[in-house]
Amino acid sequence: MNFVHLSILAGLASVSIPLMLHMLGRKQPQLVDFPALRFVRQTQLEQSSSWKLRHFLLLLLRILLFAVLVLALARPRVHSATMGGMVGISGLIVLAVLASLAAAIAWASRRPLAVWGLAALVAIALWGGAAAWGYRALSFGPALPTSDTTAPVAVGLIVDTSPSMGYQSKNQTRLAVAKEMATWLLGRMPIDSHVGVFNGVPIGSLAQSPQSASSQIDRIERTTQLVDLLERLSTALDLVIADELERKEIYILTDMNSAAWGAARPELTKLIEQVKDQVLIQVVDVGVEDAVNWQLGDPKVDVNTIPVDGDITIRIPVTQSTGGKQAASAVTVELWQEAIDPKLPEVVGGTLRLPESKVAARSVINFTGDSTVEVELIAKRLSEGIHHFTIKLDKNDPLSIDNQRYVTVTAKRQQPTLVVANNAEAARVLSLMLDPSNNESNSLVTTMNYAQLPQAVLTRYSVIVLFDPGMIAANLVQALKEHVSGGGGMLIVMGPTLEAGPESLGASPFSELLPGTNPTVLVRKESDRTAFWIPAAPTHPVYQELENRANEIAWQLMPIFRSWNFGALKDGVQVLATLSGSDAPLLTTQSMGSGQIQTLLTPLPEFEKPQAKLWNELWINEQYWWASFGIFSGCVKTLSGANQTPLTLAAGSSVNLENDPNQWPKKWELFTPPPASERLFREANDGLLAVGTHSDAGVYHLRGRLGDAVARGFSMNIAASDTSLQRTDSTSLDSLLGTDAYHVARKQDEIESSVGQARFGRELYPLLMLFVAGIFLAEQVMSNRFYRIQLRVGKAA
Amino acid sequence: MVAVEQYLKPELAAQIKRLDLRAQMIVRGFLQGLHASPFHGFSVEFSEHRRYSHGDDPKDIDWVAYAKTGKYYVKKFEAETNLTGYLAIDLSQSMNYTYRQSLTKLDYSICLAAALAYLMISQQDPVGLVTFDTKLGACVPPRSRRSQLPTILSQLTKLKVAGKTDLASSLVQLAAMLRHRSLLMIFSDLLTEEAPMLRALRNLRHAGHDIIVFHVLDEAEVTFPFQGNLQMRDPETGQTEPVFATEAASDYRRKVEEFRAKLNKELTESRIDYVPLDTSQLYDKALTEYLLRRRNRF
Repeated sequence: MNFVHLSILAGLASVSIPLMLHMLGRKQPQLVDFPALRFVRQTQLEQSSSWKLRHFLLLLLRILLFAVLVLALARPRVHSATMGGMVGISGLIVLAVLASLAAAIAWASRRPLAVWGLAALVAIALWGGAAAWGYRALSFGPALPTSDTTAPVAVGLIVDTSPSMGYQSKNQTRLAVAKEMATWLLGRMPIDSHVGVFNGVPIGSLAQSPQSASSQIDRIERTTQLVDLLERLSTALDLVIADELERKEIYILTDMNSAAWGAARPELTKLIEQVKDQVLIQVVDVGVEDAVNWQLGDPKVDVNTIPVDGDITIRIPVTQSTGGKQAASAVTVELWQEAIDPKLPEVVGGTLRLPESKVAARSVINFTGDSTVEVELIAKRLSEGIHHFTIKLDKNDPLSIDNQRYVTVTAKRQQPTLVVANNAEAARVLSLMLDPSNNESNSLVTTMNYAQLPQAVLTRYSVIVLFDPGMIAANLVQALKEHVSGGGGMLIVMGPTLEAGPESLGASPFSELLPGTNPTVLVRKESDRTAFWIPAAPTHPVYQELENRANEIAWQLMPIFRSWNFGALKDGVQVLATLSGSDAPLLTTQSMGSGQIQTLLTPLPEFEKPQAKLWNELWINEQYWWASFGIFSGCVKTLSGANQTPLTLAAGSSVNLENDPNQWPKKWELFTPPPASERLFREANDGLLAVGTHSDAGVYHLRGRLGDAVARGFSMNIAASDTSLQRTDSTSLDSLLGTDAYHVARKQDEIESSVGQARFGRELYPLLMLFVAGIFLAEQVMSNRFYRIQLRVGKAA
Repeated sequence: MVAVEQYLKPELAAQIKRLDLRAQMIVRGFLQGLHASPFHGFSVEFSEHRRYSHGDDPKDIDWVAYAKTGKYYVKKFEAETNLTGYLAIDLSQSMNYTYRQSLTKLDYSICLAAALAYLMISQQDPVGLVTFDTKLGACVPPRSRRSQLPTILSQLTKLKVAGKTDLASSLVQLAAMLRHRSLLMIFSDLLTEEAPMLRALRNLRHAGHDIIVFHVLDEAEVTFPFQGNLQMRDPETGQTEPVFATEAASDYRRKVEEFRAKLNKELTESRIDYVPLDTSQLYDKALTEYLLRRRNRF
């Protein structure tokens, strides 16, 4: 506890006033002649003890009145955390006073010992409790910082620059409001305060003055990426705690977007709990409740690479939020397709000239209330090359950043696939699985049996599928290795044919193509249905055909009875699926030169044969047959490059593009998207073009020259979740920062109030004045009982 | 027009400076107030019979004489001359007290004594005056002639309080002084030793005297109107006492009532008339008491 006006405590000497008055009053009572004094005397014998006690109580009340009044005027302050305790202590004191009065009156009234003794015991217990509580609260409770209001402050200033801070209300973005608030706050800081602005740029200490911090605040701009407020808070806390100034404060200016707060960090919450009495954490809410917004979600494309003249389907969710008004509205979503022009973009007269765009698809959505509708936009017959699309929402809403999304896809001529299988029926089905068009004249899939394989020109095929192969001759193995090393793909579906001579398989040249050594077949009885497929890497592109639902499939319904296994896997082999209950692989992938080999260790799909036991039930399961279809298709597409690195990326991610020297030039010009377009230069190394990290959403164009002008590019999007306007609530904040460990304010006066309480504690003045009023009332009641009417002195002749 | 009762109010009497006029006013007010007098024929004594004639009050007919003679006779009365009254007034210091009334206890007693003297002289009763504090003081021997009234009133106007009260010893002295059976009217606040006082009064009564004790207290001594913290002083002894009047009031009033009740009981048992008065009361109570006493003698 400390006092705003310490010197006023000298006024405690004023308690001598009632004492002196009392003493003087005792010496000179009002004299009245009264002949019938003997009757008065008889009465006095009975009344004197009660009278003396009451007189003493009156004196005590007056002393207390002066003392508490002086104490109140000295404006004592306690830490906010102690305030609850102070109220409790006050309550105890009131009860103790009442119990004491009851005991005294009972004693004076000559009530039985049991009555006044009990009251006295209760009073003693209450006084003791109040004293112990008060001592504990003031001695061990959090100490107040200095009462000097001009003392400098160590300030950490965190301004949320997340995309949602671009939300406009009353012609101001949330960021502008936050900056205004930050400037106002800095203007109120003592001039020698230590300030640190935490806007993502690493800082080592709170080295700025309020003025320089204010200039930095002016330069803060909205980012296109979500800000991790807890990360910044953690950094700010470290520096603020380390600063030598006694008074420590952290301000978080945010629109309360729940995404920016992220998930709880127990270690941070613990740290805040430890230092909450030293550091004020003030959350300044500049957000808008009941925000109105129309938002384009994250665009999804079927494939990143499509065949020339193929169609691309883009699905995108559109969300309407009308701040709870559930208003109806119509919005149009357009898909703008940019023309392919290798000479563009170029800078003409200081202006970036981009290829022309036209509307490729349009969809109108009629919202009847707040909801999310998924829109399907199809761009048809894409020519060969890299296509950039912009999806636009024609709605002027307060948050414009989520009204455009960007998609880049590649249309390339599909590479033919060679399916090698001795079973003609199997070959036909596999062919159909890979090319459902079944266009025999122009099929992208060629089938043949193993006898024909030595004559095949392997370079004509992008992917070679070896379905249930037998032993393969050394020269053919060599040819296949060269094919893969040169950038081709190969899928080996190991089945029962190889089982014929497994002893020799391990030593055969074919084993060079396999992912491990010492191949054996794991056999389980058909009654044993406990072993099944476990996706080891469910996010791998081979599972992309399952639409990322690999973990949702009831694999246990499709037991695997037989599968190939290896004594040891070769280096660099990645296991994509395992057999449940063991580490035995079921699907592996490995690199060889520039190409890749994937190996399925149980036949997939497996076709029933008479008098032959099934290796697995993956294909024959009526409910999940499509899972084996998807895996097979996914494997082939991954190997053919159809599932190569997508060109629609998340803003802020590091971009590295494959740069085949045969196809692409080494040097590139990079044009970042408008409005802050820049022309940058990039150079490829080791077949990789490191474009760097960019946070602006839009289409990034790359222009180079390999003989003729060539162009490529990619798109970047801000994640829809980053532009969500979902506000966090106090419960979530409590779980993140700890209960009572922070303050939330919206307006300047609220900030002043909570900052004032944290800096200077809570004043006990109102509480004490309440006491003063109570004591004054008691004094009045008691003194009126003594001196109810004005006295007239008796006439004595 | 001033109501009859107004004559009996002490504050009205206090406005009149001359004691004789005060006495006259009080008695006049009293007599005017008696509409159907229960005291017909008071202060007179039977002397002879005469024949009833028309116009005589039929209630004066002596029915015993009628029974003996068969003729109507009416009683003839004449004034009683041998009822000697003594007005004994307490001159102790405490009698010179009032808190908020216009008359002190002594003033009130003097007015009352004057009125009684007036009434007695007008009825040709001899009346005398004695004063006392610790002992007997001034004395006006009883006479019934008209000139006695100015003498008594003159003496009354000269009365000044002296010291303490010793009613018992004063009464002993008075008893020694009285030769005939007399009507003794004592005006005192009786703030003295209780037991000797009662003993002395009983002795007086035993000696055959009629006694009326007019116990005059100040209105404040009866109602105790004080509040708050006071220092109270006994004007006779000078002793002081700190008093929290608010708390003491009810107990005080109870004590005074007990005192009056005890006196009433003790004196009534001794066939002594006890008239508790306070200085705010009308005089009629005292005068009525006197007349009742006067009648009971016959």
